[in-house]
Amino acid sequence: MAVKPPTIEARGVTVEYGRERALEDASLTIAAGEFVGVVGPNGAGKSTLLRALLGLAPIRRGESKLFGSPVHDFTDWSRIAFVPQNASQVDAQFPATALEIALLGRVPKRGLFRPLTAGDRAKALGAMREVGVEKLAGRLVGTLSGGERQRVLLAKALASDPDLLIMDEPTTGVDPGARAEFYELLDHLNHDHEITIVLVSHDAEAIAETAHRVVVVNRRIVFDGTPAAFREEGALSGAYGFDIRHARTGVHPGGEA
Amino acid sequence: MVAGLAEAFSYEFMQRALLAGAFVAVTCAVLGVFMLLRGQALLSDGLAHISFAGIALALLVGWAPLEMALVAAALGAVGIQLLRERGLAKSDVAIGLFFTGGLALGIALVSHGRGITGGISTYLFGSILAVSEEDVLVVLALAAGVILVILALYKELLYLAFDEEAARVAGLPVRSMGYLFSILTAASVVLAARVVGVLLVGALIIVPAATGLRLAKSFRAALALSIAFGLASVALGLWASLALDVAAGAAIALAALVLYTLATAAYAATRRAA
Repeated sequence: MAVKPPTIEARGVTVEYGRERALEDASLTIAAGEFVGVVGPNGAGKSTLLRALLGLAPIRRGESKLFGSPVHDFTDWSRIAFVPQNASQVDAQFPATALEIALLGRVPKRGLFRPLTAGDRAKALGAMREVGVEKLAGRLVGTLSGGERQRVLLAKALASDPDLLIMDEPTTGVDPGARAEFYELLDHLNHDHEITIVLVSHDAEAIAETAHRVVVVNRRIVFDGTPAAFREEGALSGAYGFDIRHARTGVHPGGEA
Repeated sequence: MVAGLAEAFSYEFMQRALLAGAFVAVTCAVLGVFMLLRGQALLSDGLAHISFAGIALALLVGWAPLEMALVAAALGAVGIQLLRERGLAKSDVAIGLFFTGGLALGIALVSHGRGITGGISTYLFGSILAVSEEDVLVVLALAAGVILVILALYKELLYLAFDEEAARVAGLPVRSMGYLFSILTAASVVLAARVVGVLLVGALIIVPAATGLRLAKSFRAALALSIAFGLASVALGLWASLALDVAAGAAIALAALVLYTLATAAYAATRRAA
């Protein structure tokens, strides 16, 4: 049997926006079934890393591959569900019900010009049940709480039967109780649905408790290891400082806070 | 009022106006919902002013004004999209540049060919009551084309309106759809301009959609309500135009705004009661 390529494989990825270098020489390999948390200070390039992996950010040098294909040639997008930053801050006036949003998860499976079917509806409702928001199906998404909205977005992701779920700061605007439940839910999706998860968060503590692997980004990838090693190296307290960066690269920090 | 409405619509020219107006109202309301959700409400006004240059050129050289308006608006739509996409100008700036350019070019052409001044006013202020059978056919064909494309791409357009970045990662052809959406907008603007005039296209594109969005409890409801408000605006406006002897385009626009105000008041009242 052929060996499966890694779900994500980035080598020496450098991203520049105009003259500003947002990410430098980032290399990262993520195998199927992993749950990887990406943490780091504000503006350190966490979102840029995700966007580069998905081909949304301008890669100046290096290469990113998804399921073995270079990202610019990759076509099998229905295997990936992406929840961008601020996605949960849905315009309160957006006139769609929770079910209409969850159904969007079925759009890539169906293809252009083909309407969604009763089967798609059942699938979306099933995903809503799975994440505990089935009862909210008829509610306008703008009227839901931050936590409920986030679950609806998760249902949308789940409805597409993804192999890889990528989320950028999904718990922004979500209260602490709902946040803990949300991480439990991600753990369940990773374990029981075998979905590979890559999650960017400023919530380093929750990441270290839930993820199997922690990646710290500060322009470069300055730490990549288990949650235990992350804690041992003092990274939990230092994730927003530069202890790890010194320890791993010997490079002194730039001007960033 | 009901008797007045019935009598008003017993005239053949009123029936033609109502038929053309209804098709345009439906098309513009549906597209308007997507435009408002994409934060592109003023694109319609911008393209309308660009279409004015096309109309002026057509009248000057004797071409068909509606078709030339469509060509000018479509070119403007693609130009605005190109400027945005290449990062050369933000959306509102790009619209402002083309808006000014279209209007200036139109005025230059009109002032050059002084004989067309009378003809141009029917396009600036609308002339739905003077619509010919041939015009009705062109309007119906264009409206049907826009509606068919929207129906075919309904789920993709909703996805794009909700979250463009996620739509990109879902593999949707976001870029091509952006251009297609611009062309559809151009077509709707030309349709709206035929009914309410270049200066008032928002009456059929922005106002009914804004009214529908105010009251909707789902996306489908938003579309249905916007269509209903668009149709009601055209019917009420045409009747008021005849009854009060005012320009049909302005009457339709005012009717749409009255409906928006009533809907907003009703919405506020139900929220207070809840």
